[in-house]
Amino acid sequence: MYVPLSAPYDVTLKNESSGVKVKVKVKRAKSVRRSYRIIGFCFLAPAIATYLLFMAYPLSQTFVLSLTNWSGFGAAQNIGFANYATLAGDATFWASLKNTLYFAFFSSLFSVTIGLLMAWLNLYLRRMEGQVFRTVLFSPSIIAPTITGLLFMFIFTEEIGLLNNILRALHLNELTTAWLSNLKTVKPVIVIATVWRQFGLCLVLCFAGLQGIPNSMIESARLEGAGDFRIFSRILVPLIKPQIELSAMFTMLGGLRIYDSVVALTGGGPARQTVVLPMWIVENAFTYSKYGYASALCVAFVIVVLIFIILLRFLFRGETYEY
Amino acid sequence: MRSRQNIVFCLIVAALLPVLTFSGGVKQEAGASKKEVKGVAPAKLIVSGIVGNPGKFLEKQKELYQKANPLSVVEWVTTDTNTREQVLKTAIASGDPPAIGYYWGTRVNSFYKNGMCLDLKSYFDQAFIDKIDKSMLQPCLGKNGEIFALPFATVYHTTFYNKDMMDKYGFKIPETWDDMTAIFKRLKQDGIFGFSTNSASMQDCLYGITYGELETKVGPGTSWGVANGDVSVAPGSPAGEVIRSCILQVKAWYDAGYWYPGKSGINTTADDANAAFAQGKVIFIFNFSGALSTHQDSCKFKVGAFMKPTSKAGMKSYDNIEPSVYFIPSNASKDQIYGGVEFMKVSLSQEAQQTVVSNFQTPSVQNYAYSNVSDTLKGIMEKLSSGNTIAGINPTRTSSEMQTFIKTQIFAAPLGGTMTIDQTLNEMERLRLAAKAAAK
Repeated sequence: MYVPLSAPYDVTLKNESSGVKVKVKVKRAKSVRRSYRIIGFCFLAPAIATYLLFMAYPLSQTFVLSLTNWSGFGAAQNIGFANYATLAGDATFWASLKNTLYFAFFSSLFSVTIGLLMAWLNLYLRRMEGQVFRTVLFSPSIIAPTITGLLFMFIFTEEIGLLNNILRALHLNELTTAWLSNLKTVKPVIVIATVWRQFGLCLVLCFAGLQGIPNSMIESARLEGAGDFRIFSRILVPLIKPQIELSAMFTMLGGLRIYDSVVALTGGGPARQTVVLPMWIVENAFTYSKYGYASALCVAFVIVVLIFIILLRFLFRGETYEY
Repeated sequence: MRSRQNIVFCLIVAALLPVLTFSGGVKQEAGASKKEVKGVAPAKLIVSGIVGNPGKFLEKQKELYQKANPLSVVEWVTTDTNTREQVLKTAIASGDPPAIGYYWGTRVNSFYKNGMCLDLKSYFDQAFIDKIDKSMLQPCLGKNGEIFALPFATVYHTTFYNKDMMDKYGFKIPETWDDMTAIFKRLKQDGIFGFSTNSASMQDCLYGITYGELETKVGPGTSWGVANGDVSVAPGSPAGEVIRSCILQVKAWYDAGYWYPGKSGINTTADDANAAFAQGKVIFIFNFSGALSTHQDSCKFKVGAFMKPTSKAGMKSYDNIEPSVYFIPSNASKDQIYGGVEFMKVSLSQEAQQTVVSNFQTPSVQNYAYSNVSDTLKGIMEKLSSGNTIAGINPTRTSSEMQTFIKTQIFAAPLGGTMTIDQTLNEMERLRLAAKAAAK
């Protein structure tokens, strides 16, 4: 448990003659307590300053801009909450929000599930093999999202794409389709590209958690007659709940911010069916010169992200175990 | 003690919040006022908005300018078709404008209506302005006679065809939609697609089939009226029903599998479309005439061009002129203005315009004596004086939102099943009305 340095501390005094021990709470001198607090603030100051300068200030300015109709040039006029009223009736906003939530939810779900299963399987490998596999499986995470999008575009393109050519070679022509233009398949393709990029991070996080579990727990479970899957589901998963939560948070936030890979894969098409909220924000700001409205969209986006973080915390509430 | 600490902390936060929220403020800069042409050419003259590679005629302009201004170096800033407007507007709005913006002439209104373009009238004498083709200059003019941009070349949407393939099959240039369908049907038997186009971002190349229909079936000037936002395109309106008939025709071609590469036809990139044409997988490509140089370089066969066919024989076909223009941002510095004006003068010189012609583009000064004009380009240039090509009939100039809609959804949405044709027309009508409201 965290105890500040400036807090009172216990001292045990012993009466030499009677041998009686007495525990006494000693309060530090006021000047000492103050100096500890000052030292603490000094250590925190750079982080607070960075946060204020790069997070709080831009966010507050975005909110101010969202109350105007600034076109990027000339004077800005205050229009109150008109942008928010427009946002409520904007069909493209709701469609892009729906797409963003779709990609965030499914990419997070599959990334965490696959990452967790891969981490578990990694436990059965020898050290060297495990390291090689983890390195290979983690490597997509370091590739830029735009490159990932382009890679998958070459796989899923109708005419020259790898997938359709493999299917044709296997005489499965009836399974070929325009993966990136078919409304039924275009969104799952984007999810696949995102999961491919993200599951490596989940694998590494979950594996780190699994490695910290003492073998004795697993051995005693085996002695009790538990099988591999029971050990995984009843012992390992509950013990690495914090790592799973962290993986879910990273992948969910990554999915909510999805932009580059969608632009590279589909450009928002076909017929703008895969436009995501960040794309709509960029379009309003830089193509239509509606900086005020784009700022309102940004504020709405921040609220959506906050809601999801709270939901995640709620989902993963409960006991965590120490071992 | 603890409660006193909490109170102090809350007071600090409450004091900081208004400071953070209301400090800084929004940029109030209203743009540079008119400046005189006094200055020196900047060490670096940035020309932004080039799509893809600059090309030989732009390099010629650069060479001529740098020869006249040895201490000034031209730097190109290249963009994509989709991001061109974004890149330019961001640079101008951020206070770091290029010396020259390079954009589509019929859509430069999206800059000057926001006060982003310098009025060039006082920087060039009338004799210089008079030599520019009037139809190309027209979209660059403001309501009160301002000149916000100058064109140096023009393109228009056309249909390129594989001459060798046409000769091999004995096809004639199609004049009607039925002629096109017959050609597509025959070629499909041999596994060749009818047409390709950059549907990911330039469906307006294909939208051009509506112009002839609108001018004939509704009345002369309708295409301009639609692009200006003055004519309704709602379902049931005359113009709306004409557009519906065009969408239905394209849908029939799409459903029959004539549009390369099949179902993905509604989301094909320029590279894919051009490559398919060069590889002989399609016979026609709906493109802009400036792509002639790309096709001449990449195709081993002879390339021809023709105007879009109409629904019935005898109808006149029309297409949209798209001048390539230079403008100077209104917040450019004195030296940037000086350099920009000098660059524009160079771009309209005989030598520079000859390079435009030599690279299969249409010059904006028609009166120079040009040499080595290719047959295909002659045919394209003749169309400019035929009255068949008009600047500003592309509704992409109505507003930025309409531009996005026409370029990415006008055919993709109803063909892909995401919107019915009624919904497509209603959306177009909504954007038209929104643009009219914003203009007030």
